[in-house]
Amino acid sequence: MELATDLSCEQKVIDELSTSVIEACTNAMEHGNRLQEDQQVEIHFNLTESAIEVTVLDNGRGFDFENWQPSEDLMRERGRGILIMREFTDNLAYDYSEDGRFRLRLTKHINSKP
Amino acid sequence: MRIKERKRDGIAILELSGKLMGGPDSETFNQTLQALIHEGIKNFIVNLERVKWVNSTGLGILISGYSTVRKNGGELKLLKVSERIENIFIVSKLYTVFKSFDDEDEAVNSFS
Repeated sequence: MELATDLSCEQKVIDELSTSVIEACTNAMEHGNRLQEDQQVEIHFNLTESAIEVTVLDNGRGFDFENWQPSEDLMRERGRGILIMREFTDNLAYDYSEDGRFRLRLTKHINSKP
Repeated sequence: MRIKERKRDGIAILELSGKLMGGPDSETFNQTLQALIHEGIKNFIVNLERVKWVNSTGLGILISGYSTVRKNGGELKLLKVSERIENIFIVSKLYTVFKSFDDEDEAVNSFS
């Protein structure tokens, strides 16, 4: 979150990206690594002129992000992380790294401050 | 997350600060609500002005609190939701569930 504040782009973009990365890391720790303390979540940031790409790797079996549909129940207490990531990023993609870890890529376009 | 509580016109005003992101926050918030409900308080205003971040788990904590208060015959309303947090309420459609106010007087008067 603090890293992103150094970028010259709108605060809303930073907020949406930061919130998405928090959700991605929470999922990686809870569902990927199942809260096992000896399992690590790895995060990479790649900044280009037009976008930030954040990659989050965990040791879980992964999740079909593309076909997941949110529950219609507004009062559910869980299950909004993917929805938030989808809405707040410009692209959400997943695959597996060469060593078999689940890899989620979040891309957010950045635009310079006016 | 920290909670500062006070009462006004029989309504509990909970001023949250820090990050609302799960972990021990859920228990802290729930215990605070339960203690006040035990005292006879029905209606709650949750001030989010000093909350820097909310994630999906934090939303779940607010929903759980909302349900607890409603089951007890009261209402839980929000005060001073920042643009950052409002954005999360919009994408999750929770703005249709929670009544939100920018002014404390207005929030308090909405219960009468």
